[in-house]
Amino acid sequence: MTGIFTENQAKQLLGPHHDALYTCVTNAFARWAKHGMKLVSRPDAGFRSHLMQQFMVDEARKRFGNVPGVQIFERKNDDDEPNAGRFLVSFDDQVLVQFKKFDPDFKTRNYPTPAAIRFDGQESLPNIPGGTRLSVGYQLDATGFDLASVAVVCQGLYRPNWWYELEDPSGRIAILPPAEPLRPAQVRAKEQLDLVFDKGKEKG
Amino acid sequence: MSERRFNPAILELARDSRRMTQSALSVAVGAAQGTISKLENGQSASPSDDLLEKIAKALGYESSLFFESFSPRGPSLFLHRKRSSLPISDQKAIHAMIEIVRLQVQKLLRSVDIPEMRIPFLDPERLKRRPAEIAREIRMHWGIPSGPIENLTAILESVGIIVVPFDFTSRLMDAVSVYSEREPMPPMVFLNSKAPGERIRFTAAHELGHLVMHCRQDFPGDHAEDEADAFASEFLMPASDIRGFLGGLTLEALGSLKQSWRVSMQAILTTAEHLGRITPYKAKNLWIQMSRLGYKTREPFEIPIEEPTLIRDIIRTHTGQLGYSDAEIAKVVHLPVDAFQEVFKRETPRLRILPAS
Repeated sequence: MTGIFTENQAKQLLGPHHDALYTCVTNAFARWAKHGMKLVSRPDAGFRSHLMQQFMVDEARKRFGNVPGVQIFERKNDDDEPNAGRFLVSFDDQVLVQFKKFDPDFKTRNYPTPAAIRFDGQESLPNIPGGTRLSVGYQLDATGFDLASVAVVCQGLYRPNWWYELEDPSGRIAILPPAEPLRPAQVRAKEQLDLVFDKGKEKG
Repeated sequence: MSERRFNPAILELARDSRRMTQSALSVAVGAAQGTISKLENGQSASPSDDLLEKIAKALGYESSLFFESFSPRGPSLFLHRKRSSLPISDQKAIHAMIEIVRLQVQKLLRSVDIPEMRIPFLDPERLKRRPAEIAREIRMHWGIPSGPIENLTAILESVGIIVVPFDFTSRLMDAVSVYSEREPMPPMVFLNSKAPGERIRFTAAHELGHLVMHCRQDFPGDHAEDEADAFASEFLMPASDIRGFLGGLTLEALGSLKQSWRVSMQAILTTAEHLGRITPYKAKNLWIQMSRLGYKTREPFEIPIEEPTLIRDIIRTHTGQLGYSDAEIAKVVHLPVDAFQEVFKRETPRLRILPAS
């Protein structure tokens, strides 16, 4: 198991993408809060994790679909390996990022299939490109109604090799003023009707 | 009292809009065909009040229409998205009807204001820019966020385009757009209301492309249609936004993407091909599957038709704030009250070529 990125190497490589990775997670959570939470009256944790996963993947497609040096890699489940499906984002062919929910120790909650164990253990897997495997994901607060942390984690076999948290970019970057939005079309009566429209004449 | 002058061109327009020949009209009003012909050619003075009323009734308009000073445009000055097999007679009827609707809207706009026209004119040839680049410029200019466009019609109306759902009574015509900087009229886009929602959206984006790129050209070349298609594709599915969604395409994925991007599965597959996100073999396979399932003529997951609001609100402003009765507005637009109510007073005004009454 050689050649795994150190935390500093990962920060250097992923640095230009930190804001986008952070936004993938926070936007996904905002979508969950706005839409997903209302789909059923008592959503359980599994339902939330699943939707969050879909939202994070969706946000990643938007942000990384057209970025030089970044490639989206997808493997679907198949009959031989029903749990082999993965959505990964490859950065410079050196790092592969998956999106996950973390427990309080920043471990991912994968069902320990042989493939999942090999994946977290940074061991080679058929049909998965090489590179250090990292997880970008979130921890929830105790209520489950808010994010406690967004982090980049390098998983090991039993515990994370290392992890670091991502900062909220809005806390350090001035938000650009929004462009003048398009307003819904409105119809207004002209003010000087008598000059432009002779109602009596039309009647006549 | 102002002098009323009979306008022969409007009579021909009104007759064409009802798909009536001179001969059919002459039979309907009990006059010789020559009488109608001379009236249209300006070789006879204004017809008698009795004949005029009969003609108006036969054509389903008020006789006041024939005294409008409006100058119709020639059909070549319209931009349209149509299939080449549309018969000339149908094109003529459609153009005539559209001209009359423009006249009606022009009259209604005398008393109300609508959003200011905010369409920049960008000629791809002069600017040496591709239509896709121009589409991106327009999205940025209007501050449209990345990703799918939820309601294209609302965007068009907010930049001052009057969108009119129009029953062309033919599937061969998708849309017509009309605009000239020389006329004091906003751009108008007439969209085939019988088409599926996703096709209407693509067509609306195509017409927007014409308005942006070609409306200063009196006779856009044959390449204009391809340019408008390329514009529409990028406007609705910016390559940089959709590229990440196009990996591992299946029919199911195309269906899901259709619902989120609100464009046809075929348009998405074509985009995936253009962007090199699918191998030719896999693309061919999907085209074959879609063909076998009949998706090339009717796709599943039909996108709801977007409802324009401007014309409806123009009428509501007249009847509400300005206190007009239906009969008064009908007179303004030269329609019998029942025809006015049928066309303009629906929740979404939907125009169509009426058969002559």
